[in-house]
Amino acid sequence: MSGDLDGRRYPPVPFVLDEGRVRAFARAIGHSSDGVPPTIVTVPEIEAGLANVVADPELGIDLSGVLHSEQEYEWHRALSAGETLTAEARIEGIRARGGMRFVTLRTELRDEAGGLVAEGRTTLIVREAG
Amino acid sequence: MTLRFEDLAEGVELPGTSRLVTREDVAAYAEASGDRNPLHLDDAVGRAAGFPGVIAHGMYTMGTLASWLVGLVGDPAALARLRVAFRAPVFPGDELECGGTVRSLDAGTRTAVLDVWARVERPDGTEWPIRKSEAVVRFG
Repeated sequence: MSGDLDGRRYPPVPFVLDEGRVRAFARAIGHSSDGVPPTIVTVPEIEAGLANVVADPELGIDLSGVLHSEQEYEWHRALSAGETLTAEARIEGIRARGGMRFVTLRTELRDEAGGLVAEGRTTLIVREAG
Repeated sequence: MTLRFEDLAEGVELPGTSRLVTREDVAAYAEASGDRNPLHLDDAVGRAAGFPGVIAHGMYTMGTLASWLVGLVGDPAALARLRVAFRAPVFPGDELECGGTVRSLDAGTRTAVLDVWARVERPDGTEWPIRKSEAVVRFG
């Protein structure tokens, strides 16, 4: 069963890096230097990936059982306030081990020209309920 | 202090940073990031999960680490890659320290691979919310 869902893609999600959002995010993490905080890509990544995964009836994943184990980003350029990114997530792999599932998601973030701006890889540990 | 490629050598320890984690900042992060998991907002949910109360998002800590790196180099385009493992929870009231050392340098591309971490010292010991993690920084 674990292999069947590998590669499943979720619908792309747009995200506007509007100034207010960028400022609020920067303030929350104490980002005081110029430019857009790079990890703001987590916002569309969550919408495109984790949110879809938790809502996916075939996965049966409950948010309360999810732990964020690892996270990786690669940025190909600096982000610009005001630009629109589109995030598209896919399941890279789901493996069951010791009563837990290890779920890896890959997300690509592209700009309006279709250029690859950033990529993310999220590893979640899902503890089964009951 | 802006770090330059010329300042680096293998093994050099980077000037770290430290920040007090507050419940308000964690709530502000929940709002700004869209991750409103009650684990970060409701002490009862934190306790039900085995913690003293709410915990900060792993991404809150990673965001703090990324900001520190970008501020260090003085260029938001500098951070090429950041890969972290979340090893321990962070609680409101923690003094969150970020730091790292230079693992390797590539003079041709003017990039540095850094071992980075996030650490919290508490009365009962030191914890590493982020450990065995790496950043790739490119200098102009």
